Amino acid sequence: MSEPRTLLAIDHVSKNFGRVTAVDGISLDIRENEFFALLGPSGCGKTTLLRMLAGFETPSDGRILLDGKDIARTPPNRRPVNLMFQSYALFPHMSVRANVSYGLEMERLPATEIRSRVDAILTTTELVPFADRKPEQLSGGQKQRVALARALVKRPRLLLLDEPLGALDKKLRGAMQLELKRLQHEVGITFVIVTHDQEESLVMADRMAVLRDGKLLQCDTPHAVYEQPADRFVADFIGVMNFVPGKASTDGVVAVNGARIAGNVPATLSPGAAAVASVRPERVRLFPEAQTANRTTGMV
Amino acid sequence: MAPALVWLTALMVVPCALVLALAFFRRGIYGGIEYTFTLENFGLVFDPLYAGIFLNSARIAGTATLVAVVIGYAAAYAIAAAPRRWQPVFLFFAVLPFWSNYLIRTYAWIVLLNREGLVTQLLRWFGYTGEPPSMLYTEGAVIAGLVYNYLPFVILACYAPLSRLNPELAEASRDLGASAMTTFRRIILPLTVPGIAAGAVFVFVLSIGNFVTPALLGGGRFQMIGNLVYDQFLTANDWPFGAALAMALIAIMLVVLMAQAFAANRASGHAAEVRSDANG
Repeated sequence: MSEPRTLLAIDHVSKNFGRVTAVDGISLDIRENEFFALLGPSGCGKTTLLRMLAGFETPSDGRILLDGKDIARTPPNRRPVNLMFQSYALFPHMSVRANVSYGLEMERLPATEIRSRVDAILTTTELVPFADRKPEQLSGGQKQRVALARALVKRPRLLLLDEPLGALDKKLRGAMQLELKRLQHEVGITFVIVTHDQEESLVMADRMAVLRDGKLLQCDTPHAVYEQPADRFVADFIGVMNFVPGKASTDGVVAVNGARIAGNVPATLSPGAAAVASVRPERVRLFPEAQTANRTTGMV
Repeated sequence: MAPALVWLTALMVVPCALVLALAFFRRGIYGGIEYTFTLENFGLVFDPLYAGIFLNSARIAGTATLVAVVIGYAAAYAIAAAPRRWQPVFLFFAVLPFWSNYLIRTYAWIVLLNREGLVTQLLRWFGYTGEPPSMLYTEGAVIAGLVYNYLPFVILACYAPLSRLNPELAEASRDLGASAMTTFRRIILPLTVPGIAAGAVFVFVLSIGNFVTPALLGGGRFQMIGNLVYDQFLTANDWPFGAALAMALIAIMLVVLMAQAFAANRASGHAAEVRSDANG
């Protein structure tokens, strides 16, 4: 496999609103054809970062390089980047077809090309039967597909999705996660999705970044983030985690109120220092009697 | 419902019916009313002399409407774009002139526009030495007075849809490659047309029947229908003809209001029709 190419480089980007720092010196590389998730609790700066990628906010500091070119100050209508809004922001006075055609009309493409590209994307997103409807006549899932089609038809280098499944009910969300993933493969466009739902990013993303208070905590594959969380916050935020307080020990085992739990001890942790062992619940087994070294006792 | 109906009947339907009835009688020789049925009052309304005044009134009211809509929409747009907590303050200032009397507000324009008024003094202060411009008692002065008096209606009518507009719609348009101007023309303007229409109907209906502003700022040189009705009742003492003119004016206003209601109804009715079609 060849080395994946970097499409978008976020280079020490910060954004201040008055005295509030929404994004604090974040650096990230997003690769070509990747499904990338920006994950974090509300107020962590992920939406501000996304809006800077779309062009609606200008970074206070740092560079945003798309294909090596700094686009940090390019207005939104001049970047090959499209955003799918959380509210979908469909134009209520236009039919589905007119909504999807709008972006291509702005590129002043010939009418025949607009028509064929719109037809193609409406087919891909299974919207052909609804082409003449107004947004208010569509269900939530259909609106979401129109918003997606409207952005995808522009064939952007990068598609940004702001909480794309947030407005859908839980059952539909599961189906749409797979649908989005399938579409991304089909169109071969790099997706950057913003979400506060850790399950969503674990299921869909190739790689993910965990943000908190405007800072980047960890950027890796979902598997790595799940198995080797960078800190306690990430460990707690992603999936379900048990925390067992105790002291670090020499043999890579944390001693906790008599019980010994084997695990990776960071080199920075000297033996005897206060430490917390984190254990995924699915790794805990129950045995009738104490037998292995890696154990603790309890009552059921 | 019932109290509103009683109120409407007593204060609207009965007086209008009385005026309508009046229009079918003859004028008495000494200015009274002769109770014999005739249609000649309505015939006289279409006399070129009076029909001309109707057309002139419509033209002045139409111009005032156009100017008021352009200024009012721009003001409403600026208010809707201001920080949320400042918007009520700006709206308060926009409707503040309503707190003073209509006559006083109109007299203020005389102070501004007369030969040695504030505008002339301002011009002199900038070094103008020629003849003072004649601004008062012109059609422009009448239009300015109408625009000024009814502008708050347009601002309020346009502010409502502008402030309700999801700001992400404009962002989505920019994101899809549209310039700010195209975004305004294709997204913001079409979605706020109902407000513009409501404001325009307000200004037009109130302007075409107005008689104070043309009398004070037009100096009697610009007769509008309102002045004509006023004169028939209070100067010429021809109540039946005055009533016929008033009825013609009401008819024009009704046509304008119904056209607006029909257009608004069709816009929403069409959507409902397609919706039931989709479900069936």
